[in-house]
Amino acid sequence: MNVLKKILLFPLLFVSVSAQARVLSGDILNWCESDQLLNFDVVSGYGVNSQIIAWWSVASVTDGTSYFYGGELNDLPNVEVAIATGVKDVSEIADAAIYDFDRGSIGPLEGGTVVLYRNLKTGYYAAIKIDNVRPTEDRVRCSYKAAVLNGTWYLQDDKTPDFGALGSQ
Amino acid sequence: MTSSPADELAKKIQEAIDKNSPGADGAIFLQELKRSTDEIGLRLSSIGAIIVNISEVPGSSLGLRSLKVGESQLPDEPRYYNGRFQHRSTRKEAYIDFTYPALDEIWEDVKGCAVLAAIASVVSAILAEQVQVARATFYPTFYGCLVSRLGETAKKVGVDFHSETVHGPWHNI
Repeated sequence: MNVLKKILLFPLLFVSVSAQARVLSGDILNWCESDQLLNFDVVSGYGVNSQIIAWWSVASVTDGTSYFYGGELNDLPNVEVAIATGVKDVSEIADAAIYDFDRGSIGPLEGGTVVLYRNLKTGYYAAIKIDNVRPTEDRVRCSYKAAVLNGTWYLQDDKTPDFGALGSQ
Repeated sequence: MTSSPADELAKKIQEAIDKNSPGADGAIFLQELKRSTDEIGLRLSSIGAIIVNISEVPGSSLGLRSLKVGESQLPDEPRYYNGRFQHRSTRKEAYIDFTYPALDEIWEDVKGCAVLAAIASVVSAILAEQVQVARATFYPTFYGCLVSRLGETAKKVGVDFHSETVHGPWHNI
């Protein structure tokens, strides 16, 4: 129940969600490390059934580094994660399938990194652009550790691995 | 409220540094520093196995540079999450920060003296967040060395200490 509550509460953290063309996106603000889940289907307004859920944990608050996880640790065996190596903007990704996906963890990752997700069962691709990791004193919302992440999420809603449409939206 | 010998020592060293006017020479500065440190012994608390390994921190900003001087592995952090026991590694890293307007010009001397002074007890004190103890242990050797190399300039070099906690990724047990 606790996990469900956190999933449902998460959309409240987003200041804007835009649904245009084929790549949905929105801001990530103050995403708590280790126990707060980002459910792409929820934050995108329930229009997509990607079954991709993301979470992260802090490596170093000082360095602003983080780890991201595939589905291995939270019983989502079809969810995989990858680093979009060399990519600065998600719209540069024409074929997300070429990257090295993993069910476990990736990192430590610095600010500016683009993290890719795919669900092998549903066929959807998603991405997160990390802006920064910061310390927080919010012990009420962030129940585990005092670190939050800011960035942007992206969900390709036609099941293709092409995020290039983002640049033309 | 009573203060520890280490606190007393740190206070005296700071007083010795503060007492020196810009006109005072390095010898007086060192003499006062040595007299202070000879008065009281140090007591340090250890937080486990310490690895002393000095390296420069890249990306230092103008007038501020840091050295990583050591680290200590802490016990793994456990949790029960989503019906599973998980753990992640945790280590603490010790850093010494140096400030001076033209730090790049004297960096090799600063670094050389810091290497001499950053002994295990200094690293231990930084990791234990005992800044006063770190200061009391590090200052005499560091400033002694730096005064011998740079003279009056040595007293204008600021020193601070900080530690960072670094985690590994979560794993299922």
